[in-house]
Amino acid sequence: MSAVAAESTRNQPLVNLHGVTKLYKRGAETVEVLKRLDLTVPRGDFLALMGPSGSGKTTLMNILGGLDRPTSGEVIIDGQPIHSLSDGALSAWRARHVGFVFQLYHLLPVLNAEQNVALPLMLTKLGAAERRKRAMAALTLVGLEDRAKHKPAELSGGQEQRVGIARAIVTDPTLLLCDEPTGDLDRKAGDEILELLQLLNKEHGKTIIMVTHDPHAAAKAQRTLFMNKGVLSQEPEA
Amino acid sequence: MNTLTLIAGAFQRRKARTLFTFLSVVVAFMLFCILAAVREGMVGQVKISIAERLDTYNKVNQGNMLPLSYYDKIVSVPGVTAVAYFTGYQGHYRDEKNKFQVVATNASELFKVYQEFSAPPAQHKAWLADRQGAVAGPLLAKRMGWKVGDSIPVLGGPAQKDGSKTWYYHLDGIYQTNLPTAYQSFFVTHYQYYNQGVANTQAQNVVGQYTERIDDPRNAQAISSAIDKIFENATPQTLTRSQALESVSFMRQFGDITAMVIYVGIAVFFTMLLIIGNTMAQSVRERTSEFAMLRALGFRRPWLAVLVLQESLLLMGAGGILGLILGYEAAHLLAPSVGNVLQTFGMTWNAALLGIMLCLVFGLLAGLVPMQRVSRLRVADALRRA
Ligand SMILES: Nc1ncnc2c1ncn2[C@@H]1O[C@H](COP(=O)(O)OP(=O)(O)OP(=O)(O)O)[C@@H](O)[C@H]1O
Ligand SMILES: [Mg+2]
Repeated sequence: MSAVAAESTRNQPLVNLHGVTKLYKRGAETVEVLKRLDLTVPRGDFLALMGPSGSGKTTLMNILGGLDRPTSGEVIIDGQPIHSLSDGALSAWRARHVGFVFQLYHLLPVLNAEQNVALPLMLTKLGAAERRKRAMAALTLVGLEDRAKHKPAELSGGQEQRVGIARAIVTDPTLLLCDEPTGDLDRKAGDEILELLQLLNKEHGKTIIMVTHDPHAAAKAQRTLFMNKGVLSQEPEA
Repeated sequence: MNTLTLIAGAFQRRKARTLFTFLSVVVAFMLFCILAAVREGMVGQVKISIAERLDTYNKVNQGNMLPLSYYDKIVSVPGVTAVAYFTGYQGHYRDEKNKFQVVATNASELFKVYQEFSAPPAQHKAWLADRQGAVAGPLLAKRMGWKVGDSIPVLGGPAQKDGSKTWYYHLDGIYQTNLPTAYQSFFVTHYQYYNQGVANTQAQNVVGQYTERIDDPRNAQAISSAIDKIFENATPQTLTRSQALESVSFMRQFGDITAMVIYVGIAVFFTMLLIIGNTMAQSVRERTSEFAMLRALGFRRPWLAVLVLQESLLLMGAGGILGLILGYEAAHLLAPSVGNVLQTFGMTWNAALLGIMLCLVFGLLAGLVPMQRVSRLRVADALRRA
């Protein structure tokens, strides 16, 4: 890649959505969950997504992360139109470019914290020692280096979520997608998670899109968008 | 950490269930071994019972004796190439536990009639020349710890003329045979020695059966009739049949029951495997959200499918191999007790190979449904449902 091309990529927004529509068929009726959405997210943004239940937030996140495909429209991330990738290519793309943080953590109960964090590295060519090193580095970043050998059941919810975040960043993706990351946590543990996300955003240059129902959490982001019945807006619906 | 960690983890999730599933596989394959042994007990009988060999018994009752004097007449029937006759007793060596069958026969003819038997020529020759000589089956010699040249007192035999029940023999050789286990443990001695030693006059100059070798199996029927014809007006009359025919009537006697046992066994075996397959499917179903998470991390469909397949193959493979080993041992232990009815009862190499193949096939089959489930997984929906 030439310097000019690299520069132009850097100036491009990380996420570009054009006219994204998502239809679900429920029996005979068709539900339009996302309605011709346009969305631009610049690099280094920390965007909070709010909106009522069922408004389409998770659906949008799944499309952004390549877990689901739009019925129509374009999804361009880091210059890559991911809506046209094959299933296998999309998997490989996910492994390299996005980190997911789930509301319910989704840790494997039989693996310890370090192994859970190292999971995405199984898809890389890294050797065992290097994988362990990176997993430990990620755990250290989230402040859990002393819990490396603990199984999820031996951790608190907040700690589990931090393991989840360590797993999301261990492959060093640019984009972090967090769907209600504090939804299952109390205020204190939730705040710790939000501070960690802020740190990742400010110090490590991660672009973060976070779904939340909590205005307090949304306040920690750089900006907030509101989803209502499949449409995004700057203001909450009156 | 590698895929093995993940598979081991999957097994650890529900330790009790994994253990029970594993044990079901073990039991299923043990059952397979027993069935295979029973089947061999039926089929093997047919394989060794050849039409070139006829058996002549007392017509009134197979268990009654025939006069030794019939020998000359049977030998002279056209088409008969060699005739062996048999009598004997059950004796033991040192301890009553060490029982075995002492066979008394006309040694010179035995290997001609039973060409499946052989011994090193020097040993064979020594035996023929030794009135008190004996050749033992390889399994028997091994069990008793005998070596060629040993003197062997056999206890518990019929009383001799001097009142002693101990019969003295010399082990002149170890015979070899490719016939099944039941044939590997005889103690074969000279009829002469027995006949002249036994005190009971009723037991003298009589034999339990004659066995004839004939030149052409197509003449089995005709020669059988010819033999029985000679003794038509004598007492006792004889009944001669080829061993092939005997085994057919043997099969008729036990075949229906045995076949039924086998069918029921096969049904149980398959049911067990269906249950195991279902358990596998259930275990994968429970982990749906875990698989969805792995997909989100970037693991591909085929990778997950192979993971599930490995799980299934490992469970079936390990359980199956252990089951086959235990089943082989069980068949071995059972062989002596069923040996009277099913002489060829036992596991064969072919059965073991079939067992291993079944292991793999069932591992594949049990993995198929969960594999399909995992590869059809719709990540977005599966994560939502978690
Ligand atoms: N596979 C599907 N088939 C049919 N409808 C679906 C499917 N998945 C989602 N939906 C519908 O799409 C709509 C949006 O769902 P989505 O999960 O995106 O909402 P959300 O904004 O994340 O809600 P919440 O805040 O409760 O998580 C809902 O009405 C949901 O029922
Ligand atoms: Mg949601």
